[in-house]
Amino acid sequence: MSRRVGLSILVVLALVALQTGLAWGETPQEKWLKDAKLGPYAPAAEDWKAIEEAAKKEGKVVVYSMSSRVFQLKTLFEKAYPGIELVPYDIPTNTQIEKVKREQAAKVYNADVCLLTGGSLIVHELVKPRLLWNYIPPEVRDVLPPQYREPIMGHHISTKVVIYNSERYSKAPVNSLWDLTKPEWKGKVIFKDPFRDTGNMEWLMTVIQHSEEMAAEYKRVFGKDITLTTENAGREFIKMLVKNGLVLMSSDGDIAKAVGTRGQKDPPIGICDYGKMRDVIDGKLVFNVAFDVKPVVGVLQPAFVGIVNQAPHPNAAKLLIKFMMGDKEGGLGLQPWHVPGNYSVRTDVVTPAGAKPLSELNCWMPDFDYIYYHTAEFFDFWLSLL
Amino acid sequence: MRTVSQGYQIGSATRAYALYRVRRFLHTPYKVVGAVLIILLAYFIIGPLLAMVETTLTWQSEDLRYAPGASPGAFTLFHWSRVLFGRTSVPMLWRPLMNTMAIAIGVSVLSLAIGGILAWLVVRTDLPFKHLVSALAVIPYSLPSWVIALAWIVVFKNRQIGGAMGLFEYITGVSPPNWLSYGIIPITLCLALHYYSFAFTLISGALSSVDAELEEAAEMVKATRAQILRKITFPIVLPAILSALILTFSRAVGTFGTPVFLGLPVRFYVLSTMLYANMDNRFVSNAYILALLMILISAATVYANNKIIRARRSFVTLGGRGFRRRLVRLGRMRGIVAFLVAGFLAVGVVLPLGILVWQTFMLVEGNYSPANFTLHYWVGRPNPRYAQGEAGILRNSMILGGAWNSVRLALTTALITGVAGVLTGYVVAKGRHTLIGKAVEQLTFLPFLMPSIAFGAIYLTMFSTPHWIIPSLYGTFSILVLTCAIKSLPYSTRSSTSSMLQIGGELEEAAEVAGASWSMRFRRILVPLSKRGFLAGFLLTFITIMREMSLIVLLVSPSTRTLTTMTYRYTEQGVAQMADAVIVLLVTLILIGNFLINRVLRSREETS
Repeated sequence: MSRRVGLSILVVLALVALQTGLAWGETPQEKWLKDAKLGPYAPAAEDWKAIEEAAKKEGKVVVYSMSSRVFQLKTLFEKAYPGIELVPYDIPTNTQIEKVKREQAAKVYNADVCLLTGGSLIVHELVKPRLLWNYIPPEVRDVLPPQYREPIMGHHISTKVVIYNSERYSKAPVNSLWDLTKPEWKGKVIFKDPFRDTGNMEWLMTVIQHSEEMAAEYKRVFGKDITLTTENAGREFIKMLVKNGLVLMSSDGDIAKAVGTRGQKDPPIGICDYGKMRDVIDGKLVFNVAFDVKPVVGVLQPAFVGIVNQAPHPNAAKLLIKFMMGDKEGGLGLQPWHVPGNYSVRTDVVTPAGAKPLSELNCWMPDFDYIYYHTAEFFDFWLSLL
Repeated sequence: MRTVSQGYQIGSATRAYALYRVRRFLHTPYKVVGAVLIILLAYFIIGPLLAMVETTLTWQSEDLRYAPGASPGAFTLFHWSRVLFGRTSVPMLWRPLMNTMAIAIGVSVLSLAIGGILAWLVVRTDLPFKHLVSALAVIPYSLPSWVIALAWIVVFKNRQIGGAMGLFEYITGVSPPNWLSYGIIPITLCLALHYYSFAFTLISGALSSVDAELEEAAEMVKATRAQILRKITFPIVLPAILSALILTFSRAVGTFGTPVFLGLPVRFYVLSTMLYANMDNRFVSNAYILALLMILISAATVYANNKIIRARRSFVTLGGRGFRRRLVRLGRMRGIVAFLVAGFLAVGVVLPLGILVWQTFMLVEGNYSPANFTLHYWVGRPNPRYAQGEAGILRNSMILGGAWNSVRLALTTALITGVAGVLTGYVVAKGRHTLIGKAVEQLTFLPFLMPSIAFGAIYLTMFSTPHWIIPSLYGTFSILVLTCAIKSLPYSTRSSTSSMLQIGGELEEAAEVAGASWSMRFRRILVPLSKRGFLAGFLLTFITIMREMSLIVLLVSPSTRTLTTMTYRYTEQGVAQMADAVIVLLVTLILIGNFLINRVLRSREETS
């Protein structure tokens, strides 16, 4: 009897010791951070030789990317670093966030690197809860503007801008966002469904946030003060746009096609990713950006990159991120995004041939905190317009 | 002392009796199996439903975006009052609900009309080429329901909304109006062109079991044709018609692909697409409320059906017995009718597939000139100018992986559901008048009521974190198998119940008398005799899962993507040729699978 009691006590003690031992020691997350030299343990200078060796041992790197150009990145990366396989997954931002959150909750560590837009969600749902880690290769730190350093590093900037068919119109047929609400454009303005694209939701919310400028612009265009049927001029604009028969599509590629197909008598206007300009340069489509549209021609959409918490291949992830940040000519892993309409976040990279420099592009930058706390409200507002 | 010993005796008697009851229970195999099944089914079917209800009644962490003060987990009626009566309830719930109902009713009526007429022509008239007609008429059943929608877009898209030019505009030079290109009319038509195959199969089954002698008898007592039709033929076929109606209606309520492809450009939402939009933007509680309402609609339909006829859940085809049948002579109309049927099949079945195949050979979408012909989307090497730099589908390891996932998922699910169906069918058939039998029957029927997309949503939440003895299944292949298997259970249970019912109890009793154990009886008598039902159910599940999208669209992860979800993604990205090539591959795989399984079925018949 006493022996059994003794045994039980021993077992209990052992269990307690094990528990407390774990608590005294480091959490798996801390251990991973230390081993991977990330977060608080990131060194001021990296030994890239050692990292490359370690990455080769890891053998692969898994990327979740909101941009399908990750497939081109795969080719480039595997050529530059033979022996390290890049496993590309093309996943829209919203799904990516949902996926990383659920995987982390389930302790399933699949992905190494995330490339995604939706700054508001990244910060609040991934970075703050320590599910995504910021990693800045020391070499590029000094050429990054502060807003693209913390809390998570930017990679490239896309823009969603007003485009028109340049075969039918020798110059832009609109010069104000308010023009899009006029009867002559009824049923002829195309926009990507904001329910499917965080970027487009951010676009509309940024317009709402800039309601005062929208009101002033209304006065410039129509010569009178705006009469509001909604809370503010930004909302009024969106409401009028929808009531004017706004067409929703599921991809920017379709919008570029609808606007830029040759031989149209009455082509529509689109609000579309400037990066689709590739198809114009290739000669497949004919459209141009209506650069002079006031108050802005569009809204910026930065994409961010980070290393997933407890990623299984942290060294390959570091190597890939450094590769993705490219060089001054827009080479290496920046190449797929070094096209007209996309801009590197680095200040020292040349503007892609055939594009306007970012500084001359009249766009708003989204305010991610504003967006995070107004998404639900906007969701309701948009629903009420459907 | 006496009383104590008496009490002891009574206690021992009741205990002995209880022991006897337990032993008897254990010796009644269907009860043991039934009890185990009830526990499992409750866990996999009732559990998720309750979890869903709970989610809608508590604050969630994503609600902090609305109500920063809320504490996640606390009880609230916020979501229900918001969805049902809130400021946005009309666009969120009521308008999509009306659209859903309008489409479901329209689709049911149209499908019944098309399927019924075709069935009558094939079974009861002297229509020529009947075999070919029935073979072609059931093809839509093997296709994903949205294939026709994609073909519709290729033909009828207009430039204003569709980007590149559609075939219709190319030929006629006229841009089709929006109401013809998108919205409720094309959605209803496309779905009807898919779902009529249910009505056709069920009604032709019922029509062929109508004994002509009944009609002849009526003729002898001088009944008119109309009277015969009304008093004899119609009542016999009525259960099949109503079954087809429910089946079509509840499928149309839960369908996602067609309304998403044809509804979005004109901002036309139904419940399923609104559910998806909410889920995608992580307003999970709203999505669940919509899902629960969809379940209610389906349940109400079935309830109404039960009120009308007693023949409950008779959506399984009536067995076609070989009666003498008198054929109606079409006479002079024969040629015209045959021509119309041929025209319908050409337009509704052959043309959509042909268009999709054609589209895959167009380098630039909407350019119909021969110079634009290409094999790039089939075998091309990656070229950044086309298909976002992806290789042609036969060279593309991701797509081949997706094809493997589709086949693997369909086969695994068909096998698991088939086996589970034999067990549930056994319990339902043996315990037909007992509580256990009824409980199993009711439970296995529940997944039928749950719209696919809602079912997927429930399983996503339920099993993405460790749950009871089940580890986290998020992003795994197992979660797809589990979801598909449970969702297919109503069909396999039904088909195996009916084949079990045909096996007389005497066989098993005789074996029992001869001392055969239950497992031996099950293995040596029940399994061999119900093999045909099992294989038929296997084929049905295989096809259903191969073409399934609504059910798994929320559950797939990059490594478990199936061909259907890949098509969805390509369509969303505007790479129509890739989307269509993937569909063509999928349809080819389904037809091969169908052919192989049918061969096995036939060779079994020959040997047995």
